[in-house]
Amino acid sequence: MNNNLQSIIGNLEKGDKLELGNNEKFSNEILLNQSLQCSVLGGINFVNLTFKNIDFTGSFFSKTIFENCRFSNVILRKSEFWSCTFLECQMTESNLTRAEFNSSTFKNCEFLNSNLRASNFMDFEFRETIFKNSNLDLILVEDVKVWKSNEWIEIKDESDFEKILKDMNLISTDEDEMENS
Amino acid sequence: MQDVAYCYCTNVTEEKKLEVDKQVQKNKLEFKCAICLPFIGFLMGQVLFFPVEGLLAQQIVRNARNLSEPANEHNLNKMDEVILVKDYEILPGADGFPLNNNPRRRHPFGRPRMRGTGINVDPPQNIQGLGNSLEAPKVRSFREVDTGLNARRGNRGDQCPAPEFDMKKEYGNFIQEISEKGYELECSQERFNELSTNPQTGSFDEKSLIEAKGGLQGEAQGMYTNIRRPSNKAVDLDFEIDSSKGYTHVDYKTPIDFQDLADKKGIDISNFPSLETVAYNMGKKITPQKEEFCGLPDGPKSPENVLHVVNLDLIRDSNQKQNMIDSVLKGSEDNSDNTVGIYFLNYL
Repeated sequence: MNNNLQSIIGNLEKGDKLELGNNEKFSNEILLNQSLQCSVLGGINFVNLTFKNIDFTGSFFSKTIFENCRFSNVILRKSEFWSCTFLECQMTESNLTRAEFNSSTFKNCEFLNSNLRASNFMDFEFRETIFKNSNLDLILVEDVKVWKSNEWIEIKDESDFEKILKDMNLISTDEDEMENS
Repeated sequence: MQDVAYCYCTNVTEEKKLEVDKQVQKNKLEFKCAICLPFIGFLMGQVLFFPVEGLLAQQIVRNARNLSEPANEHNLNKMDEVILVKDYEILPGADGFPLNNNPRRRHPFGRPRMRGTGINVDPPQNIQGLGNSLEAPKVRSFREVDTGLNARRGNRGDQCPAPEFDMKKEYGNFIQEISEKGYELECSQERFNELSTNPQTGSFDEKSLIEAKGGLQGEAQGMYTNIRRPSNKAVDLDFEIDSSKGYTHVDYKTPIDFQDLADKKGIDISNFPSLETVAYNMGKKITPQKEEFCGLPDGPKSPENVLHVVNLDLIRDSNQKQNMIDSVLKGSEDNSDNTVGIYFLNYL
């Protein structure tokens, strides 16, 4: 099934939340300026979508794949992600504070100027994902793995997480780049 | 400039692609000057352009203009069919500005521990159902996303829609529901509005409204008194409270009933985790979450000061509620050998 997400949202009645869970696929769309707080999405495949100025605060995502998606000024604060995959995605100026990621994966993703403060990662895999000018303060990690030199590195705690990512040049700030140049 | 690599939008004809090629060649020098001259310190040797697949030409142009306004809006208006993304990096002048004040301070008052120390068990609180009658938000106005980074932004005008609520109606419905459940609550419309305001954005929103209703029901039940939003925005817990048991802050969890969604909306429940799994992981994370904001100004002094309330209002089946309580407590116990500071709301 390949519907148009924009039209589904447009057809929501007052009082309705965005609730999708029947293995739908949405591709090549631009979603702009929507308040979609407390949405519930399961088994959804988003391919080549641009989310811009979208508020997903308090939403629940399960078995959802985001492939080659762009998130710009997107609020995912206090959202939960279960068995989700982010593949080749870019998050810019986005708010992921207190988001909770469970049994999920970031692969070839990039966070730019985004805020992940106090987000939680449990049973999570980071593969070639970079954080630039992004806030990773107070994050909690448990059973997290980072792909490094053809093997998985297990993260013991938050300090290991930041150290390993820094060693791999996966965390940087503009100040770091200035120093290196 | 050599080795200019880029791809095209979908549904672009060969003729259009040639036009784009010409335009890129024509503008690249002008573009580099426009971008780089005001920020000579960030001058880059090579610029790669990647129009984002799936974007309409108009959208790309709009993005390009928005992103480049701080550098030189006039010059960049001539750009066409190109988005300012360089090999997965936004160019300086767009989203790649250095931060003025990057708060990369981690755990300024000591790193939170993943495992708590031994604390005693609090019994679940017997509070009956709170019916939330939530209205979907209607777009009223627009606001910027507060990422909390205090970054200089090339797209400062970008905004997220702020939802609109009929707060008088929300308040009236809530007071009636609380009254029907036999609880007494002193709460003015003004206080209800304050509690329903997202402290991070200063606006009413759906999530904050759910938290406020749960929080006030907890107060009505006598779990604590004087519930209010945190005075320090950096203490990212739901509320401050007064409590004879030493709690100073409370955080609410309101799990969703997937079976209810399946029954009402025909959603395939196999795409969601079991409620027991959700509850177990919730319990596992509660102890480390209690430690996250300890030591911050106006924050909890220790994890023992943080109360977590699991509001089971949305769960229909009473057996399911009991299973979830068991799972939350088991998760917490497995992670930290204790289940202290966890209350349950609407658990019968």
